[in-house]
Amino acid sequence: MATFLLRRLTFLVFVLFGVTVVTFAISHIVPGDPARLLAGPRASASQLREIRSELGLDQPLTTQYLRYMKQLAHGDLGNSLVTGRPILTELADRLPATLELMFCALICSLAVGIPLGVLAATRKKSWVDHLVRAGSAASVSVPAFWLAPLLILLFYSRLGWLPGSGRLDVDPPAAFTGFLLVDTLLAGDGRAFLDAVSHLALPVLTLALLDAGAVARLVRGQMIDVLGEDYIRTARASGLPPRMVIVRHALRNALIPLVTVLGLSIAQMLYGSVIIESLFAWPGTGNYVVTAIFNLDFPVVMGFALLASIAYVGVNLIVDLLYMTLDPRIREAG
Amino acid sequence: MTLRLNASLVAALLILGSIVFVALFAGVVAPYSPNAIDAAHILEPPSWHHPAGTDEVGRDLFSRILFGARPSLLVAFSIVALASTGGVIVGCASGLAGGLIDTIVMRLVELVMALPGLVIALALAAALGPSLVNLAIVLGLLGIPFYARVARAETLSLRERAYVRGARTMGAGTLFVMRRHIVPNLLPTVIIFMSLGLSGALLGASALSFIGLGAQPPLAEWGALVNASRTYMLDQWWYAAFPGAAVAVTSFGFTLLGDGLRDALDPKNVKA
Repeated sequence: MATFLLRRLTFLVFVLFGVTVVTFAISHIVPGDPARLLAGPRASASQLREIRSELGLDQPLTTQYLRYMKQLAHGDLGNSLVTGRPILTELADRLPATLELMFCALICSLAVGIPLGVLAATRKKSWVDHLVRAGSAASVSVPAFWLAPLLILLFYSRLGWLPGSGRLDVDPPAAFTGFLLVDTLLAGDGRAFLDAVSHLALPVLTLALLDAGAVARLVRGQMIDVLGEDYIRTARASGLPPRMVIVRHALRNALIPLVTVLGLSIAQMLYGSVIIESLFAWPGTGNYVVTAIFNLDFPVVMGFALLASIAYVGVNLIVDLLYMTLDPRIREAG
Repeated sequence: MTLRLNASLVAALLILGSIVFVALFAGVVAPYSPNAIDAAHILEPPSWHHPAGTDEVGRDLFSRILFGARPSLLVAFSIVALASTGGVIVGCASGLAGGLIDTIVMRLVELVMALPGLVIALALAAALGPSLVNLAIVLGLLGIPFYARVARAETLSLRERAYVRGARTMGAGTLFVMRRHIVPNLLPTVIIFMSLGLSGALLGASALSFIGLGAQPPLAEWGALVNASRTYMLDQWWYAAFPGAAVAVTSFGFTLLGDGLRDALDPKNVKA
């Protein structure tokens, strides 16, 4: 177990180093003239010269990289070209909105995907199974930028049941956590809470629909594998009720790999939320990045890529550790 | 290797067959030129004359979607071709070389796979400047590690087979063994992954185009069409609905193709 941990942590350091090399390369080497990209399209020649010396772009790449690392170590991702504020602050301000959206979508996606996957596996080759398989194939094929407009058209524009953009229509409560669901409850403002829920409904539904298919697919596959194991046959042969065999013996073992699904889902949502947030005018990090791309605010795009990569690597580490605690076989294999 | 047709495969071939047909013969099938402006018919809902309506300068959306099949499919195919060719070469070479080279290559592969690919693609595409070609290169390169891992795993098992060892004993060089014995035998596995990868490539490329990092106007690429429709989303439903549906149906076809091929070829070879 100790060697496994040590190996994971060494790899983590290696990956984090790789992340910085990749983002450094994208911002300093890939563009023909990094200064122009970082300064924005409206910069004058003297501004460009200033930026070049300020960033040390005339110096060797290794020196530039060390500088870049030093700035990162100080939490300095540079400033937004549009607002002039530090990028880290800009992203941090918008992070709670994104996390709230992703968290709710993840819960919904698992709540739909897991039962459907189990149902399909236990009734393999029945009409339920075919329906779930077709549904999940459709779910993984639908582009986010199509599903979101359709849902907005139906539930907002035509039916008028749900709001189609933003996080809140009423006065926001005092911000403690930045999570509106929590803040409204803390303030005891029931009306604002319901308003926040109604604003979450459509973007969460979109993200969850896009992800639930992949979850159902993987759970079904795992369940079918586990149901074919000897110990399931033994449990059945010894007369345990089918429900108990499925829940206690099969599902518990099939859910271990689900931790991996969780990691994949989070990766999917990290990207999906960029498009969803932009379409729902959701004031989160994803929406901010799309605006930045539109405004040619390149430093913001790089800052987002770096932080998203670090977050993703962190999630994967947690997934691995969870995996290890849940599955003794992996612990032993080290 | 016998290929038994199953329901998924038949459905996939029907869907994809008609889309490829449309892409090839867009010039004959489409009722209008994709760029023909018609100021008298702006933002019209679907009708007999314009089955998918018209856009803000009166261009026929149905024709634009038909012509849009060309860049959309071409980019998806290029991405998968680049990723799989690169991946097979890297994976085979690494597996055959073994030792330190193999270790280093595989660590690098793991490194790239540990990154959130589409977020990196987004930053890279932004750095290179928006263009469909850049997009295809970026997404293709980021796909290489995926195929490299599959190809290497297959190579490791293939290189111990009697006929490969025999060939090597007879003095066959690494390149010859790779071309003659390894690559042909790992193709079935790679083909399944390629067909599954096509759906992801189409979705990824059209999503980046939708953000504005891919096809530029007036080129009618599906993701770019939906992007252009954003201002008119609430009042002109057909503008976003039809190009988006084209992506969804094509991607669904690719997913079915992958599923069908996996079931039709030996299912033990590939675990999802």
